[in-house]
Amino acid sequence: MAKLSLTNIWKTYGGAQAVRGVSLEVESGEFVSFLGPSGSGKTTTLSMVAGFISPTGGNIRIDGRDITNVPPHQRNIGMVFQDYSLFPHMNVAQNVAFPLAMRSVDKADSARRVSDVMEIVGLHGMGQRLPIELSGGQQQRVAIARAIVYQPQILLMDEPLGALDRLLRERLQLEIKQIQKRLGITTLYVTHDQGEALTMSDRVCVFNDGEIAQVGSPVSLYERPESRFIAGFVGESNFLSATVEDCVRCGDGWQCLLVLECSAKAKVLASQPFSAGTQLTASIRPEHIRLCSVDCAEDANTVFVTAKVNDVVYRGETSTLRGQLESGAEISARATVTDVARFTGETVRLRWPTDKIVLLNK
Amino acid sequence: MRNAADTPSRQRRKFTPILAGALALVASHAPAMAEGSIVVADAGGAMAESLAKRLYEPFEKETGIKVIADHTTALGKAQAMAKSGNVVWDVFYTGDTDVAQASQDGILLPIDWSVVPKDGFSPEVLNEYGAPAAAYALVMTYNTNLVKEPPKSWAEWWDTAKYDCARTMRNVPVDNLEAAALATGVDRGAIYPIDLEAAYKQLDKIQPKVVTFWDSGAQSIQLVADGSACLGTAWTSRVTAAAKASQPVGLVWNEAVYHQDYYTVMKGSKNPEGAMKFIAFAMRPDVRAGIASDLGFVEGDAAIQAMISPESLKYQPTPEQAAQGVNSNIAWWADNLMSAYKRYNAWLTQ
Amino acid sequence: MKQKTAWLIFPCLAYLLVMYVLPTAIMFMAPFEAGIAPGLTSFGQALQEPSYQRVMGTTFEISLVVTIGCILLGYPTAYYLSRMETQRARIYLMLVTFPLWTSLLVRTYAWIALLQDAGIINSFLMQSGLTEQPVKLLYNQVSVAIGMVQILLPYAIITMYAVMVGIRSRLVQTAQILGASPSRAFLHIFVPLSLPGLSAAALLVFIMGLGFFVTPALLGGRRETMIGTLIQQQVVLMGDWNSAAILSALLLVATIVLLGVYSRFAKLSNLVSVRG
Repeated sequence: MAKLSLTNIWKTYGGAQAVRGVSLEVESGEFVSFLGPSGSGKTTTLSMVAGFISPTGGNIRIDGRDITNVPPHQRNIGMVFQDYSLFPHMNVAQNVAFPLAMRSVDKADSARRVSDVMEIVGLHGMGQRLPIELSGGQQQRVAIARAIVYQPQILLMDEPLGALDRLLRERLQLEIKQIQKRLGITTLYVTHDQGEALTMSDRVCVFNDGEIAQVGSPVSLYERPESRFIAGFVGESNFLSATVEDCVRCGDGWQCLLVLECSAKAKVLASQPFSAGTQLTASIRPEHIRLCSVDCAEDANTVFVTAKVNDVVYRGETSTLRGQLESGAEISARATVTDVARFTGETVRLRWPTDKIVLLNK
Repeated sequence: MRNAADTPSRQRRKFTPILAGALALVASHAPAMAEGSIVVADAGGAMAESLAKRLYEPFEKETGIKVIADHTTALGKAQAMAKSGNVVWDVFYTGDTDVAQASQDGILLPIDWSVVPKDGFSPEVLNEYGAPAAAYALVMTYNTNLVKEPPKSWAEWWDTAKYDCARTMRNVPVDNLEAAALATGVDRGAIYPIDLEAAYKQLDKIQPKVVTFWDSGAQSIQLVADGSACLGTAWTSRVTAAAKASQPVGLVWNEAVYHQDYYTVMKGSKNPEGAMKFIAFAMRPDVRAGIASDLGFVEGDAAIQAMISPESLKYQPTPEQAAQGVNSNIAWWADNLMSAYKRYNAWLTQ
Repeated sequence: MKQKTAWLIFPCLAYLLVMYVLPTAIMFMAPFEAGIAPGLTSFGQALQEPSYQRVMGTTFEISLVVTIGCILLGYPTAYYLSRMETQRARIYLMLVTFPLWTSLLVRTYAWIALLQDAGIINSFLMQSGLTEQPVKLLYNQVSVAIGMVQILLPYAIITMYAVMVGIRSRLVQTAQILGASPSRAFLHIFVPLSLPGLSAAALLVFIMGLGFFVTPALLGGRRETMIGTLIQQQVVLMGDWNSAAILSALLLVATIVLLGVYSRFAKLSNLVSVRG
């Protein structure tokens, strides 16, 4: 239950820059995910918060206290790893009691607190088992219990569900979120699974190439990506090149007329004016692109394009059509009708509402 | 003590059949020897080089019988072979105490004196199971840098007031008991049977001064040469080699304990005739003189002694020096070997 | 648990059976040639023989000292190597095994050159004025222990390394974030997890130490007679196979008892050695 501040954190290894100027404020009780491809700096940043790695520059504060050079064992941080990292020579109860023993908590108090957290993670009565005798999910529950039993100020989780199968993962996502809410513990959660980040987090911090690409709520990240990277990494997006013809003021913002690839025109709202001729990227989510029948009516708020369907991927409740515009640009669309396989090789018309277009700088 | 000494050797003979089976498995790997060849066990090292040059090669050339040398001469190995029934060696070159033990164990063939000449040897050197090779002695040694006035007797060697420095002795009772007996003042002619009580009392006196007891000939020289001990004991052949290598080790001929080496033939030899011919060849004066020249061995026969090269004579005792020595009594040792070792080990570890 | 590949160990088993088990068994039956009772009597006599008892005692004492020395020197080394990246550790391990490529006799004589009164160590001590007289480093239990530790140390290091390399640094890190100082994390996590390696190394070194005879013979003084030296003497010098068999049997029994104790201990540690 503490506020965590990262200020201009750098980490370089020789000439390689692993983390480049990361700054982030995490509010007390907030659940923030670090999302990003591997090698993007998210785990390195987490390790610097834990104290396993010391930053080359910048500082880390918990509730205003500078902990940049404090050794891990004096930081009062809890941590859960993907590989559980349970001590194999200790039983479950001893594992959970370990941080209390290190803090010289007396036996009776320790036993009570261990029993409490075991209850919380749903492992009541398993104290005498050895880690090796537990399933992966149970082992991770033990690791969580061990990380929260001493009420650390910050909880760090490094891909904690990465080794578990999908069903168990989803169940534990929910449980972790519940435990986190109940304890109100400030949490940093590293994952490369965007679905996980979006479902669990108050805010998602997307890393790319050692930097924070964008921080925001799951909704803002998904619906208002600020870069082509975010649009492509958080969910799927189609990218079409767009040229600005003209922008006019419209209420608080601006309305710009764009010429998309293949001469399709679209009027799109923008937060700033662009001069005529500016090259932009128009991003559209596949689920907003629909297949339209011959009779689908022209509409000023809809963009129409013609595409040749290369293949159709069946995904159960939806199917994904992948095709090519006349310009050669790839495009994919979601179809909710099941019988779309017949369009393979055909030329079809696709449409999407102009208000679903997100404008990105090149 | 006499009974105790007898018992083990009787038992040894009894377990022959079982051990034979096991050893046969191992020994059957040995190549079958051609009719025209013999296997000779020698001690290796400088000795083997000399034997090869002076004895093996000329013998091969003259008789066409091929000599294969095995550079491990150990009583234990000879016994194991005899027990296995697969005797690889034909000729077993070894010392007098081994001959006594081996003949008692019944693993040797009597020497065929119709083939091997026995002229010129004194009766006490001759043995039913062994043709005498060269003699060697265990002598007092000293570090020539540390000791300017070497001891003239074992009594002096024992004198810790005169020589207040470390000693080294061989890690066996053989020769040590003779030296101890001589140090107590027993006359050279009267040391056998050795008075064990007196001898061990004498050994007790020197034991605290002994830096370590040596187990190998190389060690006996090294300990004295590097000054770990100022006085020691060593075999003459080793001192000769050390002197030739300019190591600071000198020897004292007084009260040297002389031993006789023998050529013996293994019972079960695949080529006993060849072995006897080989030994007969080895008895030739020119062969003996050559080997003695190389190794500084002592030859009793004056005619042979005269053939030894002059520069190697300095490594040998003069007749006067030789007369100051003691001959090791094989018969006494044959009877007392086991009990002597037992008592020696008990003494050593107390 | 029946494995189809079990036949793969048959050649090795057959080899050991013919070349080791059978000769050993025959050797140990030697004292019973004259019957069970006389055999037992001779065993009983050997057990009561004071010189054998003393040599046994010396042998165990030296082996114990050597074991402690190997662990004290080997444990930190194995730890250091196990925390190294694998590529580099491989090179260092090669260096650790380097002494094994040199003849045991050569290495033993090298110690004589180093430790003797006029040796390098004493020359240094006296020239630097640390001592007036040469320190007695050779021909005592110290020199035997030094020589044997040097020979057995690679075995100890490699055995402990094999276990330690399986202990992930992550566990020690975890202990630290949970509140353990580096030294407590090492003590509570690394040390218990490395115990199977430590005990295996100790056992290996101890048992190998029991059978030594060249090193104690060359580096020892008048008191350092080990059982191997005695057995060798009995066979080579005295041809006394009977006593040699009895002493060998006693040594083997002592070793088996040790292994039994170890396996009880190891059963407990098996749970621990699982890579967690």
